[in-house]
Amino acid sequence: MRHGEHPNSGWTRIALSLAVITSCLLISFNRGPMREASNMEMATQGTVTPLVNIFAGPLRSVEGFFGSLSDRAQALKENRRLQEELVILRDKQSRYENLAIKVARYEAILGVDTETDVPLKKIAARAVGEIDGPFVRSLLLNVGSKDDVATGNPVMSVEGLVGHVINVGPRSSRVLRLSDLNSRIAVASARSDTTAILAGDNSPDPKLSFINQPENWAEGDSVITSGDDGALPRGLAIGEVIVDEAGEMRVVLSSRRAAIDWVWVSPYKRIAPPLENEAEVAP
Amino acid sequence: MTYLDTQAPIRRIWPAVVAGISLLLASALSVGGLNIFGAFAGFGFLPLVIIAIWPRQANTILSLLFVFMAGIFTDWATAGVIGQWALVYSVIWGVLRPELRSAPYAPVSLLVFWLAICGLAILLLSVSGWFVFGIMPDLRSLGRQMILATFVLPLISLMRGVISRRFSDSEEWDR
Repeated sequence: MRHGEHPNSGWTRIALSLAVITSCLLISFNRGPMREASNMEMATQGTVTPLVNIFAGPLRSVEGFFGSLSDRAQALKENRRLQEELVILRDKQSRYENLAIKVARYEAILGVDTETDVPLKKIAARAVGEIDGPFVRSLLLNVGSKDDVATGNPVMSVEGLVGHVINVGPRSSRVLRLSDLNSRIAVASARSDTTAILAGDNSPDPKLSFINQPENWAEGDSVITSGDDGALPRGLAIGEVIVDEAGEMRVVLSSRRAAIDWVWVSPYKRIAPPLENEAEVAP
Repeated sequence: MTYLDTQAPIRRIWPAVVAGISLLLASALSVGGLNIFGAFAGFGFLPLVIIAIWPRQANTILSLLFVFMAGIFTDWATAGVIGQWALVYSVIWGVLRPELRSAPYAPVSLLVFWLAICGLAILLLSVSGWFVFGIMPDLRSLGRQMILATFVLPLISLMRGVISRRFSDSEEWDR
């Protein structure tokens, strides 16, 4: 296949060696804790977002075409299941409405505020890029600081929590997904209210670690954000507990039920710790 | 004296520029992917398709510069390990060395080379990722990316042939 030596071959070998050595050096600088995004990364992200946005439309159409084929095949079965679910939900809805009235009365009597701390304002965004790399699980959104998105804001899909914003550019932002190796979220079981840390490990189903009262966790429990660390509001739906073959508790993420296209960013402000000398300053 | 030696250096620049721009475009697109049949397959291996069919007569130093910069660009765009894709692209280009090939790939040999490229890319990603994070990569995700890129390979190869035929004034168009 190969023939005589190319006249430029010596220089090419030198340049190639330099490229490989430089790459290896750059890789070695990445060891250690997760680093902050550089300006170059933010600029590249900002450049790539509009370009990928152009291709996102046709790609979603292709996904929609294949999705509708499989939906049609399951339509009858799905319809029966939904009808059964509807009967159960109607009963639950009437109970919920009664309870809501009751809670409102108690609130009025006691003068307490039981509102959730999830902000009502939502910033709609399109996930133009979904990175499913060998070691990275992130999303690229077409909204940024000019749309009031800030680092740490939770990102939701209709199914549940997707992740939180880690980098913000003027017109783009990057979301660290719950399954990413660097993701750590304080969670709670909706049934028992016991807490744990949801740790991403690059597998589709992140694992539960630092479980508080393991006996109060069971397969099938709904998992929500606990709000313990003040980084995320309490009560955001995350998924359902499963036990894997190794006996470890993992969470099947609700956001994985459907392809992620449109999402919303909740402009939640992280609870800041008090200043060290705040008590002295306050009257 | 080989065929490539008869080409003026200036004539070798344009193929490198066209291939380089295509590689940068593919790198930008590699942040996306497709959800088909309930599974997500990223476009992470799309730039490797461009490297696999790199023009033989392209200026080597310029080609390598584009390949390395596209790797860094991919690392920035995907928020991955800086240098990881640059290493993968550079090593694969170095193994293929398009300018040393005496003839264009036949379809079967292209497929064989492509599978070897994918194997090498997975090996490099695994070793470099293990060095940084201490864990092995999600091989299922890499496998899905590889399958998607394999389906795209004939299409891009065909497009390359059409572009090469359209813009080359040489009789030996498929280079």
